[in-house]
Amino acid sequence: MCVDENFPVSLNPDSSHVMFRTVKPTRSQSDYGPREWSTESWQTSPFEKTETNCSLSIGNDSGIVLRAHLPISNAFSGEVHYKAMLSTLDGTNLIEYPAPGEYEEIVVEYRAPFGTVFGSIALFAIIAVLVWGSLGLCLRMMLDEDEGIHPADQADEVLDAELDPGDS
Amino acid sequence: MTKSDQFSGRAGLIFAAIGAAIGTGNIWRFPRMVGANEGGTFLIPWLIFLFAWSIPLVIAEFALGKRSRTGTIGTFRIFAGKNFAWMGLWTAWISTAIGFYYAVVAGWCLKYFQLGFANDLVGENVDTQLVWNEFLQSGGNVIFFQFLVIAITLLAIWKGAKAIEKVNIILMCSLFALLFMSLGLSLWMDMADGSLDGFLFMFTVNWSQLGDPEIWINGLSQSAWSCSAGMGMAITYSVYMRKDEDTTLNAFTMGLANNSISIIAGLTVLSAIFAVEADPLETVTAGSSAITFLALPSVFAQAPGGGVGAWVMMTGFFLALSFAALTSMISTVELCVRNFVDHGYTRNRSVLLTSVAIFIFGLPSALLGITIAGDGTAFPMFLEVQDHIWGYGLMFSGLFIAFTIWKYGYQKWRKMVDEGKAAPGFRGYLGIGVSAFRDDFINTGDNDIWIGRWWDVIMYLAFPVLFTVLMVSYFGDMIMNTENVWDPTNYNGLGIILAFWGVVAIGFILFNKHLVKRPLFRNVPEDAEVDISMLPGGSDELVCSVGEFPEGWEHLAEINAELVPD
Repeated sequence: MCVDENFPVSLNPDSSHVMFRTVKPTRSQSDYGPREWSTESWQTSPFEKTETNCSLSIGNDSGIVLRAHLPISNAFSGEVHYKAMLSTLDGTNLIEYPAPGEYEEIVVEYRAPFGTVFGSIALFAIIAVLVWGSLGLCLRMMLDEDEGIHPADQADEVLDAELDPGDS
Repeated sequence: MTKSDQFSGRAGLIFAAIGAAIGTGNIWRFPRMVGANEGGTFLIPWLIFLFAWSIPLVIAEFALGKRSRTGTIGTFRIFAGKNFAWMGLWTAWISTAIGFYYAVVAGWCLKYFQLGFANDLVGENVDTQLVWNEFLQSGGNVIFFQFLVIAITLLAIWKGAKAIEKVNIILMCSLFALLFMSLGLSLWMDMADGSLDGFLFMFTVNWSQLGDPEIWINGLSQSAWSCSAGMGMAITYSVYMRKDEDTTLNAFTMGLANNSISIIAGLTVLSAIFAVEADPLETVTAGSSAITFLALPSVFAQAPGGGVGAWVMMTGFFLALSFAALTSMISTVELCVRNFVDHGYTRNRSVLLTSVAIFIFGLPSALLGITIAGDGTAFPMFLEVQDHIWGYGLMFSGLFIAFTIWKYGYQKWRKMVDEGKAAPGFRGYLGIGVSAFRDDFINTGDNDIWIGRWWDVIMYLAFPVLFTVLMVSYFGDMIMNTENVWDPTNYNGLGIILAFWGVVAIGFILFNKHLVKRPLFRNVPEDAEVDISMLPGGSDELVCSVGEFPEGWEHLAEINAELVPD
């Protein structure tokens, strides 16, 4: 935010701050319906004064930048709604931007890397072994059974052979 | 109704069971859930719940069906007792009610296969949103494809188990081939930009998000719905098992095959989207039908190989999707049909009745409440509401199955206490109860995989706890975020869901006494030892094997002789 350098701004976070909230698609969208959004509660972030100059809307360059950091992770994608409130030093004048009841919107794209090569290969290997390996094992057991090599049958055959005097 | 109807072998049962499990949920819902739930992070709970929910439940279903040799109603009547046959009716109803709108959804898939085959989804002037909106708003077109799906399903199941087996083997083998082909093209697309970012995203765990309860809840719901665990499908197909079928191995194979297909489908969809879309996560977090019918056609249009590559990918993917939907549809209709046949209706009449009912009761989902969302995309409001109501009703079916097993264990434990062979009290029950079911019906000589006490723990603890977590999270979310949530006229509220559930449950409980007055015919294979005398419903004189008729019901023999072509 750009304010006149002589403006008696209070940096008390209770009266001067940016309010923001995130809006993102829900994790469990319905299968057939429209996109469903999840809107978080409003949070506040305090202003800090910077040394950076800026141009005021009335045309002169005597503005200074007030900045607030919004703690939003790189893995977030969706919308950010925000609005700001500034107070004078004595706290008697509160200035809201935009007008009371309104807010600004920013569309935020996902910015974090999608993954790492080693990590993804490791997880892929674990899942491949667990799911496809186990499936292969199950199919192998089935084939063995269908070929008549049922473990229980094998044990019975051995037992029968041991007990049958005709075989000796 | 003179001889038992059976699959010709293990392959038939396995393909039919896998076909029932693999549906659109694997191909369009799974990739969306992976995209919306931090990629590889989602795979961890999803895999854990395969072993902690889906496979144990399928093991229970196979064991119940193998002994009862009847569909869902008969299984609950025999195992839980006459007063609880309505639980089987609930299970059958949920599946059938899902079938009402699922036929419409399967019709969409067939329509998109037709569009892809005719090359109507590729070209500079193709606006996928417009194509989708026009299709959804043309009632006649939607109904035609819904009818086509039901007609194919009817033909597939008309002749019973062997026909179901053949159709499932053909469709499943084709589906595997088509999906692998699509996967190859998708990976090629993803590699073309040198990043393979779709693969990286799908297999990278964001450890900071692993504690997010929502990811775990979504992992559970995906695993439960995708495997059709608790839906009664495994009970139904186990009616056609050979007498010495290995149920535990089948349950593991079914669950693992289901997850294998999900991984392949997820990789196919995510690789293609990440290769083409500027903001892929924005695309994959939209609803399932939005990804499938809006995003994927435009993504596949950019497949390698120009027009031919795009055509191959489009037709291959949508044909695979159609096959997945059809095999699920077959099991849905068969579940309902089996219950009619069990109660003395001829197969032909049951198939016809069920098919007509599914068509008629599916019409509102095809026609009503077609609404344009804020982003200009049409969506079927009525169908969406039906999915909310009956999709979560499925969770009760899983709980009813657990209840049946608890009850069997309770009776066995009580008897042992009376004989002085078991300790009284809750701890005594815990030691005997569920283990008794496991010893009597799961760890039989037919099974290669021995099931240990972990299964008992899941039956005692995991089912009620996970059921509660799912319900509380779903209802809590709805109560917190929906206006007029208790108003039964609000499509998005909780009131309408409770109203539907309440009316159906009360109706079924009241109908129970009429239901158990009809004979129940068990499909018992020759020489099979499936004694039910020690079960709660074992003394029911109206329970008999196919070909036998209880006193006073002999006229059914004449009716069946006239109507059933042998």
